[in-house]
Amino acid sequence: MDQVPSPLLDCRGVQKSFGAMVAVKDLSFTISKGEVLGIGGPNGAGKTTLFELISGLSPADKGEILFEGRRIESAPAHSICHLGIARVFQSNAAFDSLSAQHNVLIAAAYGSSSGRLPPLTFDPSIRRRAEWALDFVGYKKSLSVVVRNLPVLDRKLLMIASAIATEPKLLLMDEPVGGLNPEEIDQVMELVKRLIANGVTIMLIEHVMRFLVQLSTRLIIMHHGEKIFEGVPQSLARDDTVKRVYLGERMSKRLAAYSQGSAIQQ
Amino acid sequence: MTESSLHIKELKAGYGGLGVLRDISLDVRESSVVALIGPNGHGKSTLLKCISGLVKPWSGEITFGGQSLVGLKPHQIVERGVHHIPQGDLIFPEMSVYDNLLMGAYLPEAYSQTPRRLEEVFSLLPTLKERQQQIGSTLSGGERRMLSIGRGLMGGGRLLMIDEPSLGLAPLVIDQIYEVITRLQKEGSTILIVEENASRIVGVAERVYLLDDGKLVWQGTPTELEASEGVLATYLGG
Repeated sequence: MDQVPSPLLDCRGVQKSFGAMVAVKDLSFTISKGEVLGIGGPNGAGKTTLFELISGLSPADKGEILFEGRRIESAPAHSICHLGIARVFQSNAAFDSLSAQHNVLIAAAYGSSSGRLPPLTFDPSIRRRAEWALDFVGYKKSLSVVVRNLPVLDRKLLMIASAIATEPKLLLMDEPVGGLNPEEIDQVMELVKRLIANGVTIMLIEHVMRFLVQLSTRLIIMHHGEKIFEGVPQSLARDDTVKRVYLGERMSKRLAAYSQGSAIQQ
Repeated sequence: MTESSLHIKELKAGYGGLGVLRDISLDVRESSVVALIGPNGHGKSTLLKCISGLVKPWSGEITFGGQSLVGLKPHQIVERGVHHIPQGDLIFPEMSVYDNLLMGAYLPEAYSQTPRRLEEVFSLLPTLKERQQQIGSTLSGGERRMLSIGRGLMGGGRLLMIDEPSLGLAPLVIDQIYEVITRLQKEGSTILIVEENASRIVGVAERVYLLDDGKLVWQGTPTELEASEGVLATYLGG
């Protein structure tokens, strides 16, 4: 009998190329339930492409992806969503011309139905779930406001609300705090902590180190599609390759101070 | 006229009937770096857009090098040497990285400097050199941001406005961008940046203006800002 609990997500030798460029190269890693796995690395390292593969928006060329023991590397995006993986996108990925409320309703309906298309009317159960999600993320703006007009923090909250309205077990977050100021970053950090407390497992891409390092239980650093580091955040600043290709002198010093107990700033 | 200081006086602007900027007055001295900070949605980007002519002010004055910019069209403002690198990754998605960069040097004066500036941009952001033949839409989010900044540097503007130079970039790249900002300032450029992170602008910016709800509520040096716990706590959450 296998005594070790099987991982929630298990990526084995996953690879993806675009033409001659290998964006993700023979990548293997696992995530257990309750973990927060941070993903860092230079711009263009393949981080977002990895999320494309896991969320099924773009199929892997090679390798296996198992979610709760089930192969998902060839599954369509909506099935993966229904199995319990949701994603918060890097860029503004809301329906710009629809209201905030309508955006989350569509997500809630997409996450619960067996079909791909949102229904013409929304069940009370879907409405309740959308309401819960908006409340959970602390969205305070008007529900009827057209999303195009929302400032960046509210858009980010709305995108998180849309993702959690599908009731994910694993949430992929791609730069959730890019463009936010320190106070807003703290607000999103509290929100992510509440998600963790609610039992959501999280994979997190972020360049704001304060956010990445404080939330992650484990970190992977990617470079040219490959894993160049895997370990706890405290050991990150000691890795010379990571320092050279990703962090630079200034951030390495700050992280080293953080590992010794000081507060961290970006 | 080579003078390149920016003066803004009692500027009001907004969208539709909604006022966003309320009586903004600020100065950016020639060959200095000034930073705008403050909560999102409170007018920082709108202020840059007013200067570059993308948003028409309701009232007030904007002068650059002693001449008014109010009422000029965006391309005329670019011709005066005011270059704006907006937030986000607004690139030409169907053009190559190389062609995107050339678009930043479409004015004859800048175009004649293309070989030298390309070399500078490539040495600053080597990723762009590696990817120069790639189509814009195939770049990652951070690489698009680098391209947008690289393109903005191709024009050799006398006033460079960068809306969040560090957004979505790896820490090492942010260091490099700030090195360039410092170098450009030393070479005589005037620079206005929006930056969320007070610690980033210490030693770079001469002055910081804090914008809250469309008004300037505080100004000082970055060191004063870091020391001023009241300001940090009230507006930036400590």
